[in-house]
Amino acid sequence: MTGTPIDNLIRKLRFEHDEMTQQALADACGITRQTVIALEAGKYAPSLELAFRIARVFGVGVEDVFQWKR
Amino acid sequence: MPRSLRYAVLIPLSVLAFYVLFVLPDIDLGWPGGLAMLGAAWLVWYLLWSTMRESAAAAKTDESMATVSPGEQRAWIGVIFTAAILAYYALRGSQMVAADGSMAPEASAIGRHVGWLVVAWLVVMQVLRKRWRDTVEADERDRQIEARASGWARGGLSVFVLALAVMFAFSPLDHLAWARPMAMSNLLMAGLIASCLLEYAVTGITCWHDRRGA
Repeated sequence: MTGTPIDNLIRKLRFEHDEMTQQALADACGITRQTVIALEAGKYAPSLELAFRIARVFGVGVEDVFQWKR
Repeated sequence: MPRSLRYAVLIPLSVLAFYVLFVLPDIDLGWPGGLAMLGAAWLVWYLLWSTMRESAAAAKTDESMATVSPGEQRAWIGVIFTAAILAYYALRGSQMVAADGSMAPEASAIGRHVGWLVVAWLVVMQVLRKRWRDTVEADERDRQIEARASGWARGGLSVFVLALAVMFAFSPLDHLAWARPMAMSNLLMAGLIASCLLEYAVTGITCWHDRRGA
């Protein structure tokens, strides 16, 4: 997977949520830990459905997690 | 013993075990010799397997280390078994063809060995599936990687079939004397297995590349 034009704040949000582990986030979203790693490294752009699931885990809107790189 | 040293010893030994069991001409060691050889090979493969499990467990407890996902494990195991089957075909495939181009008497033994490899592959995958029972085996990213790898495999198979078609269309007949039914059967099977190998390799390399840069 190459870099994507989408930035995200997943790592920051994890630490703001009691230092949630990558595995805990993966389990909450029904994905593998490797996908969380790829998302945080900016190597994978999630589907709209996954973006909503991640945002819901943190209790924020999608745009509070993902931003288009300018 | 450090894990890297164990890998350095066990990987060549496991390749040697494969060679002794499947590639060496059929030599009769009697049942005790045959049993000892089979036991030694399984011991080496088991030790390699448990070393890999230790590495995976160590990575799982460390947040900074990326573990190998089920999809990546499945891909690397596929690479190992398809490469072993392809290597076996390359080394012994010619013995399956009799002088008149039909099936040689050794063909059934060689086919049985390939069957054992496939059964061993199914057993390994079944054991792994039981271990992955409580985890997510594949998600949308895995499916995306697998779709890309399938595209590579389809491309490779198309190139292979095109190359065969061009060769048969434009080669003089006396250059195609080798193309007897059994030889063609082996060649087509090898092409199919090679395309599977390509699919597994592309999947494994893509996952490894993502993990390495994490």
